[in-house]
Amino acid sequence: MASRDMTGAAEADERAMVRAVLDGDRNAFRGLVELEAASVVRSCSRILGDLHEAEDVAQEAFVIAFRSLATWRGEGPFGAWLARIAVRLAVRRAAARRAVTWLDPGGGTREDGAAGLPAAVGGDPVAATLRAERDTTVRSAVARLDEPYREVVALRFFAERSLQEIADATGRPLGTVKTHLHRGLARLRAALDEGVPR
Amino acid sequence: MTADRGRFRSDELSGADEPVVGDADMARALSAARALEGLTERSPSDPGADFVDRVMAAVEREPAPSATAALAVVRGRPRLGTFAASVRAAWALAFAGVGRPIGARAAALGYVLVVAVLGASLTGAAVYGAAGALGLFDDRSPVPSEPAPTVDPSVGPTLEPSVMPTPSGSPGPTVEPSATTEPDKTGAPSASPGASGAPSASPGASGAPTSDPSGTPETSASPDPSDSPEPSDTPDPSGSGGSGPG
Repeated sequence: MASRDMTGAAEADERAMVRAVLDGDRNAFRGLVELEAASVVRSCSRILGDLHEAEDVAQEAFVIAFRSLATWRGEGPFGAWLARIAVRLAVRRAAARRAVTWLDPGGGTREDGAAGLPAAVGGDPVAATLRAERDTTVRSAVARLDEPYREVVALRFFAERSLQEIADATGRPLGTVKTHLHRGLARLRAALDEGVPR
Repeated sequence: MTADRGRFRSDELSGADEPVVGDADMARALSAARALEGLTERSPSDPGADFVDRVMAAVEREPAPSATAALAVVRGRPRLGTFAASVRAAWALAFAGVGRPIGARAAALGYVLVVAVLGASLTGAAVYGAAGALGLFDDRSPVPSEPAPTVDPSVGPTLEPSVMPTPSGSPGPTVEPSATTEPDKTGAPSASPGASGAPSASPGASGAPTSDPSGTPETSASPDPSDSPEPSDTPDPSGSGGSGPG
């Protein structure tokens, strides 16, 4: 967890970069992309399970953020606002595509499938297959959550945002965000117990 | 940049609007959180080396963001949803964009005001048109002829008698009861209405005493003109009498 001072300094840097972009310095946006690229791609990858698709969605999220940069209210970190855009796009993409799990018989990481397997788990392809299926089930369960629970759960666990950041980004009270997270986790557990239909 | 990368802890939910009830409830939440964290650890995460360049190449094709970015969105995709989003964004920038350039906030405020004025104008025109189509203005058209007197409050009272005379128009026929009294003398109640003919209503109004069956309903018939203030509805009694005094 980053310290509060570091977070404040980083937020100040982000605000300065955003101001520069709005003042016409288009290249200042590169700094924002370099700062947030890994986090955004990671979030999308966790939702989609595919790195290439995650990069496409992350790129789209950056373009949308650039386009609507003037609407960022500056409450909380820029990354949380950007993560909200990316998570929403990724969830929409995940819901639109067919749930297909591509299994690599060699056990290596597949980057051309919907859900590439990680490196063989202890060299056991069966274990890798089971984990891939479990991950797909969890992703499907998250994608099927109702809003606002889905957004809060995805921002907390996939984008790794604190609940205060989520509250700032969504404009909801912190207590409400906590309630949404609690209900979202409870519904997710129920969906996993029942077995999420693919 | 993330402020909380740690594993989910139960105390994160403390202070929720809806408190967690019981250990079982918390255990279910923790179980779901662990499933999500397991997925998180196994997902591929590192973007390609050229990712930033790709993003910047895509950004190069976009118009420069400015205070009017919300309007640019509408220009690009003129749909109701994007229009509503632009108004929302402009509102947020105008009233919550503390620290943003004053020019940007002023432009956003201007956009919101223009949309508000246009919306109010269109709504007013729609309401006016709908009222006209429903004939609400037609129903009130007789009234506008009277407002001229209503401008003078002193004239108002003088207008009230104009409504009253319509029932009082029946007194005109009250002159005729003298004819109805004649049947009393003849002792032929059925003949008296027949003799009076059309004025049979007039005996009801005044000459009730003798012609009991016909008289009582006609006294109730006399209020008809008063019920319908317009003389045209009951031309016989009030049409002649109402227009006269009026």
